[in-house]
Amino acid sequence: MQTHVRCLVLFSTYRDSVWLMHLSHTLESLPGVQRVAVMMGTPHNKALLQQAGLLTPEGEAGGANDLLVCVQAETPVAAAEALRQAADRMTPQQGRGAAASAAAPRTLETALRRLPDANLACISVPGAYAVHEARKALQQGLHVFLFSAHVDLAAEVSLKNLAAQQGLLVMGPDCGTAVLNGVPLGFANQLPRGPVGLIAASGTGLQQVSCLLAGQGIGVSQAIGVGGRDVHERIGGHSMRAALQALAQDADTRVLVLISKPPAASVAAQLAREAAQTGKPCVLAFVGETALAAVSQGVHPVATLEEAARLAGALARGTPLPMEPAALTASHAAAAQAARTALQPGQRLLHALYCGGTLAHEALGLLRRALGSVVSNLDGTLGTAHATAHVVLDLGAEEFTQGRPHPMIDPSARRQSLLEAAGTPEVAVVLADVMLGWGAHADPAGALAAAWQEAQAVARAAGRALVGIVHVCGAPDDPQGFVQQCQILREHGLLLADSNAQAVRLATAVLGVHAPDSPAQRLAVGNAATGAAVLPQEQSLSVSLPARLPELFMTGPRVVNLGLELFATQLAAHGVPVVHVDWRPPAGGDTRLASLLERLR
Amino acid sequence: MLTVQVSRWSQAAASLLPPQQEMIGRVHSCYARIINVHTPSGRLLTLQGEGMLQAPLGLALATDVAALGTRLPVGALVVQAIPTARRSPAALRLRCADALVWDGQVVAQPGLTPSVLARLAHGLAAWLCCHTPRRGLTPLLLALEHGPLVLSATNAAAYAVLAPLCTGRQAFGVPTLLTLVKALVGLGEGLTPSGDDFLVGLLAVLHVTGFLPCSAASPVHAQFCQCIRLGTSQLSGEFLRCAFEGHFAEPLVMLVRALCALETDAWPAHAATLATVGHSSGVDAMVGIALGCRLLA
Repeated sequence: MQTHVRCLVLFSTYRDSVWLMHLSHTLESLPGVQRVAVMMGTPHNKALLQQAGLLTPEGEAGGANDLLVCVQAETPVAAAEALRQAADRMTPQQGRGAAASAAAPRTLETALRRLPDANLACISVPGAYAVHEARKALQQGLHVFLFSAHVDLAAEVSLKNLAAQQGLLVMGPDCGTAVLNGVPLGFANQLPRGPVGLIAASGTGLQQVSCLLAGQGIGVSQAIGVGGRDVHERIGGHSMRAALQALAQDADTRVLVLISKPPAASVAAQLAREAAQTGKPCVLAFVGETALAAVSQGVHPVATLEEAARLAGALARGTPLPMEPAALTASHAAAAQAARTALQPGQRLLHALYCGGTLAHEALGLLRRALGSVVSNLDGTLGTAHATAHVVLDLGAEEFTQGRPHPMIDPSARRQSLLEAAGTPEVAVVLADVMLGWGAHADPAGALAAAWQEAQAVARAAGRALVGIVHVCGAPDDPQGFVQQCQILREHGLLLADSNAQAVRLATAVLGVHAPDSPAQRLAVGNAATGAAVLPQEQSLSVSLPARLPELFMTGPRVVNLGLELFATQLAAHGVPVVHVDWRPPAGGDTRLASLLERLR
Repeated sequence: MLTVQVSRWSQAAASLLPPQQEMIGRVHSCYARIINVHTPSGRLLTLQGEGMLQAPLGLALATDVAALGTRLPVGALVVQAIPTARRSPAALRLRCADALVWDGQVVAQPGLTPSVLARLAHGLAAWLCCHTPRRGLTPLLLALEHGPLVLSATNAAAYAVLAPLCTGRQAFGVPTLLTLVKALVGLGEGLTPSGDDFLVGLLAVLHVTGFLPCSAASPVHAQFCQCIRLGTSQLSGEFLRCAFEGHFAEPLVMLVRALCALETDAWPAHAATLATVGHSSGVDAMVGIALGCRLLA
């Protein structure tokens, strides 16, 4: 008699034993089914299934926390039908996010009928449609968290002008993260509440500073992302300045931190002036190869995200400001020295493989100060010099993510680059970040550790050692478990640094070089005496406080979610009122027809 | 946000949640009348309805847990209702302050001589063969007495490792324990595989006989934890870790205490209660207790 074996893996699925036995009996009673095994995919169980001839390569993919349903049947159709029934029986309880109700609304308007007091739209639909949806949301009186990228500059200006007219805030486009009233939006960490208000034109920059603060036991009042291009000259820091005004009036916010890659000079000057006018102590972390010189009392320019967190922490605690630059700890210095002795004479290069764009940007600036020439995709200097130069890669950049998920979601993207580095004889050090938080991969440290094992095997086979240095950007309460993630990396022989800047210091120490934190050039406002570059004094645009923003801070977000359902589930997990829109491109994706339909309304 | 009163919880669960700690964790899994909550320190708490605590880190809630579970997505934040709360958003808030604490720790009992252990092993094995002859690992008990009959794959695998120990003469030691853990962890059917349930029962015996110190700092603890981390699910691994540290679910503790008190009239009722846990989890744990007593007798 012919037999056909099929396996279904139900990842991270838990059902009580009685239910599992009932499922097994039900499937066995189906026509044409000969044998059924329903078991957790532990190593011993997979061995049993293998011996019984019930394990297929698909089933091999299951792990100890996954449920395996293995069926042997007379025909492929009977086997497939049994697995379909197994999957169906799982569905009623699986993935039943509060937002995923049976008949989800299809438009923003119908969603608002379900949640009439919504005050925020979270939009992550493709960029081509995002502007239209964001405009509709603003017209309905909703603040906008615009995760979508690929929105042109003119559209961004137009959205922000509309928001200003309506007394609303647009966070984005390309805004990866925000934390409003303790509620994480997009890729954000689980942060404690506290007195520090963050405004960032940089997602991972915001994550780094807020996580370092959380590590000090200091929480945030609000963390507002504005999208990387907000500090472009044409946008003029519109959303950042609006958020600054709101946090200036927010009673829960005692310390301000502005974070960005270096803004346009005019925007930097404007932000520095308006920060001083708030009357609250403010840290300016414009991270890169240039930074602001001292601006005025109460405004503290810093060169690194780590410095921003240290300073903001001291300001929040009311303790003296740290005067000494951060340095390697004795244990790190010893670890660097020990690692250095294991290297071969020709091993002199560093490859930095980042998920976080701003972290990569910060590392590039610091490394160029320490090592001189460093090539990177961040500024088009990468070329073909991989094998002979120090390299910083932002693996979240468009050229690496075309047609595949961002490396924060799919860490396997880094594996290939890691193996290439391991196969390059001159590479001594690999530097990497691990991003934790909502939206990120469930076990990024585990994925990196697995790739690191492979990379080490490659290097060992060639008679070389490879030094791995990692910074875990996470908060103690993050879903992945900060402590466990660090433990996994340590167990695999990777050196852990407490911050991105420290990871750079550690990496350069392994190479026998000292990394200064100060940037190559400091920009001063109206002071050319030192020879520093001078920022313009005037900026004519005025931005007023978005009238409806204090209410958002007061009551917290009530959200209509368009796009990634993941974000709605995450909000529901925080008890936030949320309606997820089962969004489809209008007119089936025919933009011309969609435009005509819009004009008919 | 929902706020629910915790009516009763285990000492082990209470020790993980100091009164001033707001964050409890996030929903790990929901099934039947159970909600598991993953704490930031990597432990799994079990929320259930009123009644005996079904897990060593159990919290009994004064509400319908099945209905509550349908409103909580995996990942939902669970916090403790405390006066100094920082207004953290959460899907579920638990009031733990007035909860009754139940001490579910199993500690060494005097008077468990080899002959007493042998008598307990015989009595419990006889009860299992009479009341649950085909469930879980009970056929293993018959096979160890009468030779390998026709056994299921799980029973056959367990028999292969246990038969030499039951017929051998060497004393039970830490290496034997670790051999058993490596061979049985994650083995068999059920949400908590039969091999894990067996080990939980065995560990209870090791505690009451004073064989196993509760210290989580011992090197054996580290080796044990590594075995369970690699060998079984997070959920079942939590039960095993607690068992190693001396904490068990209430039905099992009631049985073990009755057995150790030599309450020959009382323990069968507790055995009957434990036998109703899971499809075969309670039975498999009792097989572990019976064979544990036999190995240490």
